[in-house]
Amino acid sequence: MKVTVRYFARYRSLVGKSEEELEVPDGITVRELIEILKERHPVLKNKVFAEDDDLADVNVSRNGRYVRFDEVLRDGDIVAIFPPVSGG
Amino acid sequence: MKVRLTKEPFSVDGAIKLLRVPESGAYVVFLGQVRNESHGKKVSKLIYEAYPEMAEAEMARIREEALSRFQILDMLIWHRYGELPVGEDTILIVASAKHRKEAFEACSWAIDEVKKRVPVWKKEVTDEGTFWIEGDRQIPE
Repeated sequence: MKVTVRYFARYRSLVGKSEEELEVPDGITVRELIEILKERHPVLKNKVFAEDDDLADVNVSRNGRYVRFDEVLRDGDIVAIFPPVSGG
Repeated sequence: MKVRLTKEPFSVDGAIKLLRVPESGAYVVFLGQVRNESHGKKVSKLIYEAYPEMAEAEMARIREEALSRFQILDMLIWHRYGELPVGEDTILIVASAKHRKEAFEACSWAIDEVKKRVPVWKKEVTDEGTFWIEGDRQIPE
């Protein structure tokens, strides 16, 4: 299945692109997608998910809503990965 | 539009006008502005980046939640993005209610939720360099 991954703010700068489409195994979870992304972009492994509780500070959304890491993805989903927000 | 992400300056009068009804006795307004200082550094401007589709959806969810959580009549949330020099408005929240207490509480709750949840990020351009702001952290660009 295909998913679109979007990166924002500092993570966009680190990865060097704002969006990519990936072919991934059917029915993977958000956590499994993140493992794929860490392999694909070592900078994510080294600079974003480097700490022990590596998911604590990273936000992930699926189709415009915050998502849990054990949620299962579907074909056509848009997953966004971004740092803690700082609006207002 | 009661929820809006925009690059344009906004009119506070225009926003209040959208919410005016005879049943209301109170309009509480929170207006954010780009400040000239942050963590002891002199700020010249903020550059706001957003995930626009999700930011608007999340602001709409905050508005709906405020309407069910508090005894208010209405709420408006407008957020700006792009390059905003010192003195520019950044965010406007208006809560209307029959009585002031509920309007104050809802407005205060809503700005806290925006800062926690809405996917917007600021970069501070200062005399000591440019920094991404992530929650409470300042990270050199």
